[in-house]
Amino acid sequence: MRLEIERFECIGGMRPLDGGSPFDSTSLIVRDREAPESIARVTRYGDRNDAVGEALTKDEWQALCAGGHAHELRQPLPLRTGARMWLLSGSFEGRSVALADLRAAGVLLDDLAYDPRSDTYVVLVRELDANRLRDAWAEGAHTLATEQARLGCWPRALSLAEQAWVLGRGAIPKHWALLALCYERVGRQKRADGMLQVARRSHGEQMARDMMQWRERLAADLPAAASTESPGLAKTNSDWRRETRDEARVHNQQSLQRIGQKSAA
Amino acid sequence: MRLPLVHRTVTAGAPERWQEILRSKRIQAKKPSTTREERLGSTRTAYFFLGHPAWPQGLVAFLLPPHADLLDRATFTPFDSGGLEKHMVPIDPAAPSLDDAGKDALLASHVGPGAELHEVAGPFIAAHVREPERYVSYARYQDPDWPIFHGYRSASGDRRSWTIEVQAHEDVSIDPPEERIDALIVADKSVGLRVDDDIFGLCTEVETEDDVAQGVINHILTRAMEPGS
Repeated sequence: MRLEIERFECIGGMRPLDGGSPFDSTSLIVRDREAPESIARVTRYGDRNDAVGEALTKDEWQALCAGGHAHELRQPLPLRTGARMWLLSGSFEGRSVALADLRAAGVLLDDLAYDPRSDTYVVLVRELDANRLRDAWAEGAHTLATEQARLGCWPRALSLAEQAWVLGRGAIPKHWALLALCYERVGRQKRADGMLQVARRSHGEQMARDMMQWRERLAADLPAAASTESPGLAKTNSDWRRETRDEARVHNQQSLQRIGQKSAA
Repeated sequence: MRLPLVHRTVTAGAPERWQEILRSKRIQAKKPSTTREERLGSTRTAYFFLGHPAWPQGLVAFLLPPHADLLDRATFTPFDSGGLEKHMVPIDPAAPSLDDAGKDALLASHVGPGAELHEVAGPFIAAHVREPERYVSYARYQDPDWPIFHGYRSASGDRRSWTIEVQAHEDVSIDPPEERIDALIVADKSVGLRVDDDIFGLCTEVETEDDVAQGVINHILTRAMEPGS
């Protein structure tokens, strides 16, 4: 289905807003301003004035939202050529800095939109240009996670390692390895084992081997003792997602306060 | 060769969050999508396609082995039963289009008991494509190699008009996951992060939601179609 950029507005994205991931990159759901029943998911962009999309009926669109596959924006945003939607949730540690990076880099295609119910910023970016920021955020989160692991603060290392893993594009063995090690050290052995299986299934045997080599290197370099904090054997993934979000909020709040104090001084 | 059942569908009006499927370890059979199916006696249905991600939307695709206990309480059709409503047209341009009674008759005459799926699927696939791999790998808008035997095609060329749909008429258990789930194809790591620990190892991560269908196809071609599978 061909979409004329000027005729369409963005009404949502193919991810839930309240899913618990610090970061999401999603294709746009758009509708025709003049014929609102004409809805589509953007799959690629053509020349400057058009895009290609997959048509959705209104029922399908509503079912995708209700099924946890997508979200609907409260206010539509204008569709722009090359746009992809990024979601920065409350569990994104260093979010205010990341938002400032996006503004400074000139990759935003519209104002920042904030959804208070899910504590998520919804931003339309020119992804090809914005990806270098994403890569830098991934590397920064990985470095911080390693520092926290070195201090024996494994739950905090875990939340940062998850952020690095989600932000990292493609198969980056050191991100996968550190995250697997963090899961192991907080008592989530099943998920730690699962990381290796997912690496093998998704990226092949070589990736699994590279990941294991990194894991051994990190395990030798980082404290061998169990977590200095209580292990999370009984906690579900949802419990961990909530705790990660709450902890990130605390750290984000502290960062903002520090920035405020420096400005006042 | 045993092709997996692919569940990616979202039932309009009675959707189920994919995370709830994982948490409850069951895919719920809900009110059928069409009254036509109800007229045939169906009261609850969970939909699958055999060996193909023919339903085009969704962040997650569930691939289940076609266990006998599932098929014993299922039916199948050689096309998407919901597609009868608006999309099926006669291949022969001179043939009359389907009226309501004709659609009822077409559906009724092509529903088979799930227990006979494997018996029918092989000859059905052989009657439509040169090699079984093509049944799996052919894209959404692609005609089969030979004419569709039931005489109708999708007006848009959507392959759901010749892809086997399986309708389970009771909830489908995915517990224990290691036995009941062959794979979960998830649209990137942020979706994988939402999957619970006991099932996470069954995931295959693809880059975006656009890649889920190809991820399903690749998985089936590399694993389910290995000799002896």
